[in-house]
Amino acid sequence: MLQPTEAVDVRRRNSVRESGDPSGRPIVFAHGFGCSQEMWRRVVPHFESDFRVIAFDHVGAGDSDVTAYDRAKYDSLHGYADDVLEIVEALDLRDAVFVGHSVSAMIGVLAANRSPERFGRLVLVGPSPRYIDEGDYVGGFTRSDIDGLLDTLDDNYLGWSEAIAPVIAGNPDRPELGAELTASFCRTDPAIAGHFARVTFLSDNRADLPEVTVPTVVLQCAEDAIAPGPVGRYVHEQIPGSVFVQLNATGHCPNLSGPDELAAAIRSSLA
Amino acid sequence: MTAEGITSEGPAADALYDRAPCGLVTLTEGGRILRVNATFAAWTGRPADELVGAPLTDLLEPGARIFYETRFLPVLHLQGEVREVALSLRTAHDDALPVLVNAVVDEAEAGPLIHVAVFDASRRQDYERQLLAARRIAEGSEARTRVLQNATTAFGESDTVEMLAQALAESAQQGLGAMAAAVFLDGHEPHLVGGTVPLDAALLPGGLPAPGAVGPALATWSVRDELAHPDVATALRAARLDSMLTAPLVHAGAAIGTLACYFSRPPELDEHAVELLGSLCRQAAQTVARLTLQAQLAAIALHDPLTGLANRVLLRSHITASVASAMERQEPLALIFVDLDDFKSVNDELDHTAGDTVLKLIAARLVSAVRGDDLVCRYGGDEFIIVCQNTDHERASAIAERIRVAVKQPLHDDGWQRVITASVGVTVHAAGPARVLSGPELLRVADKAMYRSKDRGKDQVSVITL
Repeated sequence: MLQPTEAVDVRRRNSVRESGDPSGRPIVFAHGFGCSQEMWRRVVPHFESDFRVIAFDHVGAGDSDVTAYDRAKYDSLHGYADDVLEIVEALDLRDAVFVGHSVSAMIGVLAANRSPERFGRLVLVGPSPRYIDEGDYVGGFTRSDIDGLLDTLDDNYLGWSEAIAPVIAGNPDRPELGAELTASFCRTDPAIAGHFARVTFLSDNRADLPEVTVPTVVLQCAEDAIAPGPVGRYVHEQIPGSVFVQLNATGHCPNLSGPDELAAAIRSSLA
Repeated sequence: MTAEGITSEGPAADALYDRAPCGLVTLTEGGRILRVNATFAAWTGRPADELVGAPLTDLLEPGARIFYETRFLPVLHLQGEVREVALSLRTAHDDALPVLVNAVVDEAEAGPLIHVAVFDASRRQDYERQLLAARRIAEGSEARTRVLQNATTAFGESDTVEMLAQALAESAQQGLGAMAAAVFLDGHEPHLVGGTVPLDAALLPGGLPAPGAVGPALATWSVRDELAHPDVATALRAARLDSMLTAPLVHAGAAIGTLACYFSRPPELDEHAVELLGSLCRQAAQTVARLTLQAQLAAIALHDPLTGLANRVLLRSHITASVASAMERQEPLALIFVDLDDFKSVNDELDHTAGDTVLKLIAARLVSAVRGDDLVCRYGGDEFIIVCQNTDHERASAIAERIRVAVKQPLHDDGWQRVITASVGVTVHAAGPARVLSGPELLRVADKAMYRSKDRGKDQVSVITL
């Protein structure tokens, strides 16, 4: 059972931001490894007219409360799923649409398996339950590839380059965002990013897929080097009654490379 | 040649583009290569026209590819620019080429383009990787050493097996990054002594099915062992665990217990982790042996070696504690003094071995005749004291009578049979007395009651209530 959460301000901890129609159906956007809720900035506007839109940062990313980081809790995706459930409970969401990108797709699966009554739909964008090849299962990576990622993280966080330079190129559409983005842009704590990378890319959540009871849609990008087509198909095959949708958007981040198409696909999956 | 000699177009500008000391790449918004300079093509070991049309991600090492897709591209898209990102190219010769990358989004009229400048960072990265590798080794080794040192200290400070087990569970949990750990010791059956078991208690060592994978002395199970071990897999999943492992505690060649560690994701059990686990278990097993020996020594110091009953040392502290407790709780307290009648004749007529046997048999009868909480003590050669807490005159008399009857049942062993009787004296310290008597005073009164039985012809019970 969940612990009582009155003592924890989950809105602050996860920098929960709400927009759209407060009386609309709730739709929760969860970002993946490497960035923050800013990943959804081109998708969220498509839903604000008729949905209650909720976006948040995982602890360690964006404007989340880094002091809430507990290595033991976040040593598996269950810790992140607990946070999702706490947000859903704190906002008292029902029949919620959960849109999870990348690792957050599996976080959503874990959350929905624990409290299915809260969720009306799971939308998994580029999901992978296991990134490492194992036996007949092809995840796309080997263990040493993941070590390579950890090396790359260290190369980029090793002092001289710190985080990726937080220089803002200016945003003609919304100039007022400049200052705020400079401070929060895809910000991640290097130590947490390293741990999150391990937890994300070394986890194995294949066994959780057949237990999903919430209606689920798998959105698969073209040429996704992180969660390749066969992995998306596997997720679809393992989740009973799920729907598989192939997007034209390329790469692993359709929320940036094809936000309009992604928004349309999410909407039509809810129709 | 002057600076003015190079115009923005023409052969000189083309030469600068192609032979610049950095790689230059232009990408579509979607990350496909539109154009590369000769320097970049040469670094990749592929002709430029072969590169055009390919996604840049295909030229990256897998680890760098994950970073590029999950971090580099999102930041570039959102921010319009990224600087000095360390990535690694995979060349046509299958070598890794570490590079530093700057990229900028060019909002061209025909659609956004991405311009990328790539710098060879081999030397810088070689140096940094060496630093990093050294740092990781040092940190890893320091962390393991710290766990071992802390464990050694905690083991040394453990006065009981329970404290030791708790220290071992905590050390193993910390050292292996486990979600929880527990220590079981083999008694009549394995039982939990320290740590926590985050899953169904039915899955104790011994109750576990044969493990899925056996390393050197280690056994592991995971949620993926559904076919081989459906019960374990189901229990692990219900507890939101990924896997568990067990390691034996071995002392002097025999297994004396088990350490179990529980993980919420697949554990990374490299040789260092296995070695650490081995060291912890070896040290802990030695400490268990030491504590067990100490407990045995303590038991020897407080018990009579012949009969196994409490000795005078234990009796003295038990009476003192019982008197204090009786006063505090306003309860009665009884002492029963048992002296065997004519025991000397057993030694004289049979032999000392038979005498010892008689004492052992009588001791066993006394223990059977009293209640579980009563303490039976061998006070002297053929004298026994029983301390009965919260016992009044009536109950004390009944117990004393049971003792008298139990003692006089015929005794026999190889080649001899004998009937022996006892003179029993009872003193009962009533609840809430006017004057509180000390332990030695109570003993003297019980002794007096016993002599009263002797004087009245032996084989009887006398009670003095105070």
